[in-house]
Amino acid sequence: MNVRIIIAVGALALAYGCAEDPPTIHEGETRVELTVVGDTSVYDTTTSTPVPLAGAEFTFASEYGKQFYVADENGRVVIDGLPSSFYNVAARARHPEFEFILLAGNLNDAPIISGSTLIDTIEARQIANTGVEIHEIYAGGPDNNFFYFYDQFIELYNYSGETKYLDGWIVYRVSGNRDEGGPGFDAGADDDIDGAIYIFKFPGEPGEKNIPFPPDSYVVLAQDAVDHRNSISTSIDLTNADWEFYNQYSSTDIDNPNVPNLSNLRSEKTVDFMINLVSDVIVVSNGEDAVWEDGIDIETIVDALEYQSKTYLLKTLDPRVDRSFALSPPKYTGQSMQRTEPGNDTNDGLLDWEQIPFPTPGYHK
Amino acid sequence: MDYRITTAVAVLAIALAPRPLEAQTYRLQAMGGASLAIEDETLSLTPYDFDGNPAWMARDETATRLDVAPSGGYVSGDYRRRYSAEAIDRYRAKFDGVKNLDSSGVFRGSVDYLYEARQRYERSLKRVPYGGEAFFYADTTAGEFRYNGPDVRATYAFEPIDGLTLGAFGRYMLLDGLKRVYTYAEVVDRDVVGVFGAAYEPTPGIVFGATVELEDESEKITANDVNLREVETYYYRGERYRVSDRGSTSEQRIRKTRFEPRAQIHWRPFEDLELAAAGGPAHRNTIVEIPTGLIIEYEEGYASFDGVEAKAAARWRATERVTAGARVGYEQTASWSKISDRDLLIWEWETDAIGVEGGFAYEGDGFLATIEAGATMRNADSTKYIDRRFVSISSTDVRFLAAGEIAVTENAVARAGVGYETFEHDFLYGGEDATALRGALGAELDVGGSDLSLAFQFDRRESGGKTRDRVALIVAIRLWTF
Repeated sequence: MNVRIIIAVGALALAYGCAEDPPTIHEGETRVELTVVGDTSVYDTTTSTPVPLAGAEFTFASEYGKQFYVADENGRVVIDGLPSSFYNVAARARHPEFEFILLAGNLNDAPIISGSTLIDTIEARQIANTGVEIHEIYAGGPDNNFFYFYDQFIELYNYSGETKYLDGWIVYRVSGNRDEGGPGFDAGADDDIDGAIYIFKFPGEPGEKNIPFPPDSYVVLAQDAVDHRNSISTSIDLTNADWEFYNQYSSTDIDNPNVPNLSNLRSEKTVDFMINLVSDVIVVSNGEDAVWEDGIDIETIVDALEYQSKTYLLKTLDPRVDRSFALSPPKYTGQSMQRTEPGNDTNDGLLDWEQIPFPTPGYHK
Repeated sequence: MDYRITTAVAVLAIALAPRPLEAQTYRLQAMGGASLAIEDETLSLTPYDFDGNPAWMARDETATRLDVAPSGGYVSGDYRRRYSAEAIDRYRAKFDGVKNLDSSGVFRGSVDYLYEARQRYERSLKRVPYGGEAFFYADTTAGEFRYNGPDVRATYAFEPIDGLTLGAFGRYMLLDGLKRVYTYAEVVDRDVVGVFGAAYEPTPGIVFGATVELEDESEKITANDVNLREVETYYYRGERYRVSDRGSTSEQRIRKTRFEPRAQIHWRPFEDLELAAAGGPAHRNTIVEIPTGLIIEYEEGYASFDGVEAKAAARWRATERVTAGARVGYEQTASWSKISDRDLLIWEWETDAIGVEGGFAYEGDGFLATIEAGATMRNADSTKYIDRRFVSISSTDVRFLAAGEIAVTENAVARAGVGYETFEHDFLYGGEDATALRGALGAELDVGGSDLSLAFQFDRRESGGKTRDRVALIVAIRLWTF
């Protein structure tokens, strides 16, 4: 009996007394030397020479969140001591001569590991634009504990300087394609993105000019264009929305007769245009590719955004559409997400978007 | 200010004091903690009283008794650290009994029920935020955090052959915690301690002892907003960098193990002189885990602590009325923390402390007076690689204490004590040039063959114009038969 007790105590002591050796590499010895150069040629210039972008803004995103740095006059940042991780680095700068031109570049999954130095150059490109952007997405619902999120809306902004026409444009929720790369992935490498599940269309056909979208103006597309404060006091009034998603195949979808509708193209989908509260892909196209079954042709996409709740989740939207993703606010907190400034569309959600404490339908705050 | 090495060094101060398995006696509590030169059945230098060796309880605890001891306390003030509560209410109801089983040994058992309410507990979701590890778990709010639950202890000791005693001590504590504001975190903290001991008295007056102490603690924290929203919590790696975790539920489990073999010697060369020494190495570690599935847990971080501790004490009854006592102690601890998945060292620290203290007691007709003084020199070096901060601190702390008791009537004794301490660097709260003023009042009454003890304690710790006060009241009834 006593022998058993001694053996048991000895075994416990052995188990509890075992110590690991400390790691041989310690944190805090990272070094980053990055330079951003950009092609600043414009108009009739036929050859281009990348030049350092003085004062460019760098964003380093990792599991530790986002950190910001500004390049020196040589377009260079030198950072010591970043915590080790794989970083998505984005750099952007205004064109040195033309303020309305943005230059942006990325470095994805860059290993910044203690004991090593990352030396690289980011080549920034001028951002081609369509003139219309998704400006705000309010998805998470108001402050409530009844799972109420029917006050969702998507806001578009025309920053082109000219009137655009929304006839035949299509708004997609892309959250399918889970088995072939994920939502928004170009499965089959055929220059389209796949996984659209909700497809709602403006009236008319592409090329028609019956739905003008004036420059420097906003268009609000409401899931339900009603005063949601009647249901939840912390919600918002969307009776003044410009458009309303209405599913004509649903017997329960609310339709405000005073607000024109986007209608559903998929008859088998009988619910409203509801989007995920914290993680989804939203796409707006000019409608020239109406055959959604084979994917949405990238060249028809006006703007798109993938939003997620965490920086380290897998990005699935094709980088030709957007190179990263926006960080969404927590659900049921009444917070929204919008671009940092109107017209700031560098096709890099991480840089372009921010969380705001309350939704701003029809305006920018 | 390197606030997070403070806990580790604060532990040193505790280690220099006796390591009784149970709390101080009510007599000491009413005299401000005076202990060096006071002769008391619970203050001998035997392996049980001096170093917590349960085996020697077979000799030390011979009287059957039952203590019923409710107590309450309150701590408040703006002198505190980042992740701490503005105020703490603490109550406990304790039942502690000793049963002499004659030739079968001695059994001691106690049951505590603890209740603690931390007001404006600042962000931390861990019950012990400063455990010496480089990891914090926090949300964004300060609010009330309540803990409550039982703490059950049992000790058994017997003497199988003359001169050899064996004993075991076990403790099981289970605390439930709940944060009452976002993120409404729930905590289940389970602590199991086992001490196995042996003591041998080859000749009268000399006792050799040995113990093995094992501890296993698990603290599970689950943040789950009652309003069905998402919760956002932060896993801090060091002080600056954190990883956000957002979802309907956020969890962390902190597992701690400790292994501590120790040896004791007690020598009474002649009746009026008592000498003792004890010490040993210690190893403990902490693993921070994040559940990723029903049964799979991802190891976020690991911290290791290795140390050695030694202490010695003497008590000499110089005359019939004068007793002198002295104690010296040394402790050294080295720790490191790593991020487990990258196997990267993020923090290393090392501390050591050496303390010397002495005192005299004078026992007159119907009264006792005692004074004590001591000094402790502490050093701490900390290298926080992830934060790129390097700190080295040395501090000499000095303490004084005067206490006494007087027989008011044949059945009543009144007690009091007052103490004063200075700290060059306060490792407990992080302040510089701190002071602590301590006072205690108490009484003991013989009521129909039972003892009723009262103790009231007051502490004020101060640094840089900020203060932290503590008051506590203990009421104890000791029944000699039950």
